[in-house]
Amino acid sequence: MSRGWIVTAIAGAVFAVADLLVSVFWPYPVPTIQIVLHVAVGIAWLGAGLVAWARHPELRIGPLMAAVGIAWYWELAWWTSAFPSTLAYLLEDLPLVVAVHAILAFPSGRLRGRLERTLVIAAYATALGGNLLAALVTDPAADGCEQCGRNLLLITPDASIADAVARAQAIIAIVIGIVVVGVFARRWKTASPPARAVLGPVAWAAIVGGTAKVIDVCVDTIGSSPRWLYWIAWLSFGFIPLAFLFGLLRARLRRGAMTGLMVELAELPPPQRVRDALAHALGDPSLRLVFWVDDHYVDLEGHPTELDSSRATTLLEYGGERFAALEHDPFLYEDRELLEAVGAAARLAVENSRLQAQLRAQLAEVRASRARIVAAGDAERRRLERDLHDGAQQRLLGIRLALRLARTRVGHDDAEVQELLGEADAELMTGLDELRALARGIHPAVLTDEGLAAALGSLARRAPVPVTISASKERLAAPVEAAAYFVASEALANVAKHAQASNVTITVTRADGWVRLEVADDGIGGADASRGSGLSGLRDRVEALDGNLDVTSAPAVGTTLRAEFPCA
Amino acid sequence: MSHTILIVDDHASFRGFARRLLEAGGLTVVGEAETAQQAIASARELAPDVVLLDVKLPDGDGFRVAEQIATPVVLTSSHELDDLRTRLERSSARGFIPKDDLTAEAVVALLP
Repeated sequence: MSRGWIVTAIAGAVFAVADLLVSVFWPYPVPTIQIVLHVAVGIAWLGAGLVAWARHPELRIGPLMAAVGIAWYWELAWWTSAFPSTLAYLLEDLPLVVAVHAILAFPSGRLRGRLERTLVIAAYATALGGNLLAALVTDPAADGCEQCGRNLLLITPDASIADAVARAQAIIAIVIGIVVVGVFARRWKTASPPARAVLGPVAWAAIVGGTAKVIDVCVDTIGSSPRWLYWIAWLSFGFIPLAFLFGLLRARLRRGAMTGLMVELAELPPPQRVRDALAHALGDPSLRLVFWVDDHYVDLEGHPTELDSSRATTLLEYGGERFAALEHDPFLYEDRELLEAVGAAARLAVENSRLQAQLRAQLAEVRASRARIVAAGDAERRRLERDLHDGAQQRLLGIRLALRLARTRVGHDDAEVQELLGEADAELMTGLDELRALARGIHPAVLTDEGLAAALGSLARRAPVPVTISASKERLAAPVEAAAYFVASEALANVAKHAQASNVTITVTRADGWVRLEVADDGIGGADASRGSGLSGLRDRVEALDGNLDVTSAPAVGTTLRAEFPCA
Repeated sequence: MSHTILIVDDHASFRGFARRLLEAGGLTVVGEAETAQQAIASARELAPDVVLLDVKLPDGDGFRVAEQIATPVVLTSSHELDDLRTRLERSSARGFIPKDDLTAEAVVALLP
């Protein structure tokens, strides 16, 4: 225990005894039940505060709650000597204000946001400032309390000023009370299930007590408020620290969920179910499970990810080695033992999930690398085609023009040279045609320039069989256009070679994020998709884009080749 | 009087042979350009009777350049007619001559 804790505990005990003695020896009659309750409410705050302080030394909520207990004993104005009496006049209402502070700061002990800070500062200023002002003009003896301790701060008694101050304090207290209830109600509404488990009992006590107090003050300002309202406010005030402890206990009760977790995880379920089981056991639907792989975090799918620094995290370790982390509601810190127990129980399942996620990540990487290889191949093909077109082809074309020019210059008299030039031109034309065919086979320029529909049209015009095309002119991703083109090209080549078809239909459709290509002929069918390296090479290309290739070929019905590609 | 012509192509050797071939065929080559920008500027400045325009230029597309030139345009390309057919149908050019078949007569035949 820290020194502060011990000092607070001793001071609390001394004040509790002092409170009891002062009440008992007070010259005016006080009902025993009231004395007992007054001492008990202080002990409740002090005790709960000390327990919270011991359990969570890092949180400020413990000292804050203990402070409510201390202030509770000091506000008692039943002192007959001057100094403690004066202090009591000043500190009247302070326990209520510190309690409001503690409730707003619950459970971390820190206030969140400007509204909460403003509320607390306003409450302190109203209570302390107002009491100081009232003390300057209040004489307890003149108010009929002759046995009361003398007011050391009294300058001149003035009942009207004291009255006005009390009224102003009451009005501000009502406003602050209403806003505090509102703030708490809002916090309850937006709280996560684990937050509610901790917050719940406190919320109810604070809302009931706060509402009773506000009504009490309201009614009191108008006339005299009924005694029972005063008692409700009092009792719920004493109930708040108990509610705090109950909130903690309730978090412990959730340990029953551990049994279910063990059963669920024994099957070593897939990563998503492991996360769901953990979320259920911890009562936190927002729970996120990430795995530690090769010095970085990956998500359930194995994709690299970061921890959200604005959320609470708990690292799962085994033998000093981190293997995963939980990102969760900060309220789960209230029950660190549960978090640790769940983490330990889930180790095997989490470790198994981690391997699955790692495998998925590697698979995704292999897929991505296959797609990159295909894309790089396509880019290389495009470059080759451009080089052929811009280099050799242009030079040969230049030579053709030169030959033509030479033929006009030579004139028709020199038949031998004319013939030679004619043969050279014919040979050159054949060479150019072959070069064009080669370039088209590598990567048709029309595909790059105008897209799949135009390239298929060009392909169809060259085909020995009539081809009907149905395809939109819309451009698709370059790898998809290339793969679809080469599939259609190979299919048409096969039709020409084997199908004996009289008609071919090529259809390209795009729906639900997929591009589908279908090449159907009315030939003899009976094609074997597993034979022929042309098709299997194309299948690799299609699958590299996460697509599928499928051939159906029934005798006498014709052959239909279908390829589909995901296309966002 | 012979027709004047502006030759636009990014390959210098092709321009050289084309100039000599067309001049031998009776056309007057008033200028050469190798980019889309130069083509538009020269066409405005030289006001030839016809512009022989390559479909693929380093800084642009011949079809688009043709829309920006008031002079009659004859497109040419080393690509086959088949690959360009759809775009030629929509083009504002007077016609198309594959580079293989370029002659002065073919150009003149396309003029009004």
